[in-house]
Amino acid sequence: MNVVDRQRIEQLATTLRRHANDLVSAHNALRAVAAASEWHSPAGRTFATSLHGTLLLIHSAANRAGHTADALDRHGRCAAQRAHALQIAAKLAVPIVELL
Amino acid sequence: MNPGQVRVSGGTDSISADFAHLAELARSLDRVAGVGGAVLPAAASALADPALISAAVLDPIGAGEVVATAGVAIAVTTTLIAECEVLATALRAAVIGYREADDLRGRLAPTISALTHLQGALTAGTAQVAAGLHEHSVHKMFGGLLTIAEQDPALAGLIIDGVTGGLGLLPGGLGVMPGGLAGGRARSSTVNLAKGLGRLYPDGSPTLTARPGDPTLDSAGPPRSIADLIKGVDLRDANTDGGGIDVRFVSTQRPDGTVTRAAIVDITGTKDWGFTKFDNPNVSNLGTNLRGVGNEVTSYELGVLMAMQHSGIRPGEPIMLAGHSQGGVVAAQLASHLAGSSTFNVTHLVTAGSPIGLVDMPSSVSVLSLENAGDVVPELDGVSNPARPNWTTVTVDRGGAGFGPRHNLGSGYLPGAQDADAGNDPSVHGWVRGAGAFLQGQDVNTASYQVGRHG
Repeated sequence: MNVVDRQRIEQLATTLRRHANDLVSAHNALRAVAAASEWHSPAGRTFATSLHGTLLLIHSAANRAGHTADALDRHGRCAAQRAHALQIAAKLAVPIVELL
Repeated sequence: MNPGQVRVSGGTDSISADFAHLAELARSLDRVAGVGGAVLPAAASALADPALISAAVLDPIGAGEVVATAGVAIAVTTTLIAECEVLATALRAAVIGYREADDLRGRLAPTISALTHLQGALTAGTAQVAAGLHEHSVHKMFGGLLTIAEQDPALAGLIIDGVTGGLGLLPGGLGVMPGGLAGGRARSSTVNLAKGLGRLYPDGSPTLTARPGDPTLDSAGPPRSIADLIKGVDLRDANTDGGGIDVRFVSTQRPDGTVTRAAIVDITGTKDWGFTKFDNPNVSNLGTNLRGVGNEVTSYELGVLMAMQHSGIRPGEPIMLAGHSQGGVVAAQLASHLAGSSTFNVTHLVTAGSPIGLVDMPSSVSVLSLENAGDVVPELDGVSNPARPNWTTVTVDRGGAGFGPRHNLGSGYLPGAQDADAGNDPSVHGWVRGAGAFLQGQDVNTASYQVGRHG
């Protein structure tokens, strides 16, 4: 595991987080349009209520994309730490072998 | 309807406004689906990335967590995209369906209205028409027809539609209807017939004369209501033989001390109905009516434009055009022709007793059309005004018996406007709120003009 790989994983996480933010913005825009709509018929009001489910779904998709970005960050950090530990262990192993 | 009642179609609070909201919601859902569409490849490429695969050797548990969360994200987003696409499509289909139903209702309304009053109208006028035919009296026959039209104004619209449609079917369309029946029978035939007949009356070119100011116009202060707007047109109308124009500047001082202006342009109606006066220096004549309904630019309209330029309306200042009868037709045509102008910002239009249903009105203009039950003139275009969020039509019932008093501003439309003000229709109140720049000013200054014709 080198530094470039870690950066790549961070890049993937950043991209996903940006998309998650875009989804939150789209969620807010749709909610604003739905709230501004004045519904004059019972069917219209029922439809407005049903939009609530779609808004929850957008929120959920944004959350899931965000969770994936978090998991990528954690994974990249953990893998880099382990790679670093392995490199130190490899460096220590050489003089120990020479001593033996 | 009964005197004092008002009936409203279109406007900010109408069902047509719901259509606009539905269409906007469909566009919002499209945007959500588009954003969701970008999440899927991002999540999929993360899972297949070589960096992730090589790191999985060092942190298999973390890699597993990434795969699990990305899988859920992909599944939820896929569901979201599908749901948004279905909803957006359903909304678009609903808007199309509602609009078609509404258009059909609008097209049938004149027929239904005409049939409702047909029996009474025929009873009232047929004997007179028959007597006219018997006695070879054109005057009596015309009187009988007018009686029928007074009793059943919607029938007049249907007759216009039928006559113009029938003429359009003739070979060559009498040589005056190049558009024939293309693009909707009523629209093209009425417009083309009016345009063709209008050519019998030379339009010449406009002249403009500045008139001395009338202090009585400004002494009452700036307008506060729909009735005040109609009163402004009525005052100018009472003092002109035709082509009388007022440009009223309404000033408003803001809390920070700056003063903003808005301009109301009052345009008066027909003064000379001379059927055979083809070369007529008066722009308020039959020729302007025909050319106006025919969607043509008239000398009267150009004269109003000259008055607006001369009065010093600045670019961007909101402008309301207000007109009665022919004045409303000229105002509507001007509002349509000035769409997108960087010099004149027409934001509002008020008409009283004007046949403007066929004018291609831009959505940037907020229209209030007053029509009086029993007034034949607004029916002469043969169509109902479109019911749109930016177009409110208020039908009133004032003026007593007969066509004249019902078409008149003072006896018909002024009390009708007061009824509209006193009513509680949300679309009417929405229009008044939107016209705040014109109705909430502190000062008013009027410039008066006379439009004429030469050549």
